[in-house]
Amino acid sequence: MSEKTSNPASIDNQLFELFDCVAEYQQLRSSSSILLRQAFFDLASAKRSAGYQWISPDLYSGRAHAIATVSIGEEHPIDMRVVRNNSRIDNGNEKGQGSDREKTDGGLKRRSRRHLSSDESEHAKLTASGDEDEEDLPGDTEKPDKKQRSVAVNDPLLWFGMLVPPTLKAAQSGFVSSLDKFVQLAQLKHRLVQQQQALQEAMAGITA
Amino acid sequence: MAQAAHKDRTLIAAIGDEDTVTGLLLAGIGDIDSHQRPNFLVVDSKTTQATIEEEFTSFTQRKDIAIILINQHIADEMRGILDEYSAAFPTVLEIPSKDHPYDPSKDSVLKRVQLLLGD
Repeated sequence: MSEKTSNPASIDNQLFELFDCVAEYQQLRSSSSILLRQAFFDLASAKRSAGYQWISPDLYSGRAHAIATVSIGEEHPIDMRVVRNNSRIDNGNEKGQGSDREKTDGGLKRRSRRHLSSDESEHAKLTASGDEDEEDLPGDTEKPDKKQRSVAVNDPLLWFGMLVPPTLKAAQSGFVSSLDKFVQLAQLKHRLVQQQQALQEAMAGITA
Repeated sequence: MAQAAHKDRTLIAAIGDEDTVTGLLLAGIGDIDSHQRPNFLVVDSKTTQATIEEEFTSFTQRKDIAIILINQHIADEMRGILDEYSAAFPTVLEIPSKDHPYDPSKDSVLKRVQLLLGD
């Protein structure tokens, strides 16, 4: 590395790479700032419509678990990505045009399953609780339903109530996009620091 | 070895004002571990600088945090500690808040580049 960087031409290349990186950093900064500004605006609108006491730190869940995490690549130390465990948040904008029918279908399915499970629970209450045959019957249909419910429970939007204003959903979507940009910025920061260090070494090699 | 240690770092921590932290929690970063330690701090007018510094230091010492997001105006209040901090992980990133937009002249990353180029 030091032999390679002692060449003035390679120092020029490193310098250009650093400038490219700085330009990319500034561009990401401005785009993330725009996204964040809109998200703050949506959050303020949501607070105004829902009431300031309904969207406040007092309502944060005491048992929160991160559903947006970072994965750091094994091969390259500066490769960072956002990993989301919640499909609802991952999709962010639930405003997809083609998904309306799917949503209604899903809603009906959920309703029928819920109806079914409530009937079964009532039945289970009436009959003896130790009946294994009864429990086996809904097994296959219950599992995905439970999974769906746990995904929904993870959504931090629910900390602030079941019926939150649409602007809060928009704010959530904006913050999700901003978070992606922040992780990209953190990755870029690592790259910049590495490039700076390499350049400093090269420049020290020339002056020595 | 070092990369394996980084692999355990999955959380994103946040130190910011109410709106910033609420937004980031909505995005899904909020986590409270088995010791009831949250990975976020809401800074308001009652929060002392000592509390912010203490929390920042505890975040930097945790092995499960990959990125610390901190509002730029809060970072300004503890600039000395941030300038001294040089570890690769957790990565500290200053972000704008609702009332304090991003100021490139205060950005530590750009400051370092300027220093390198002798501006």
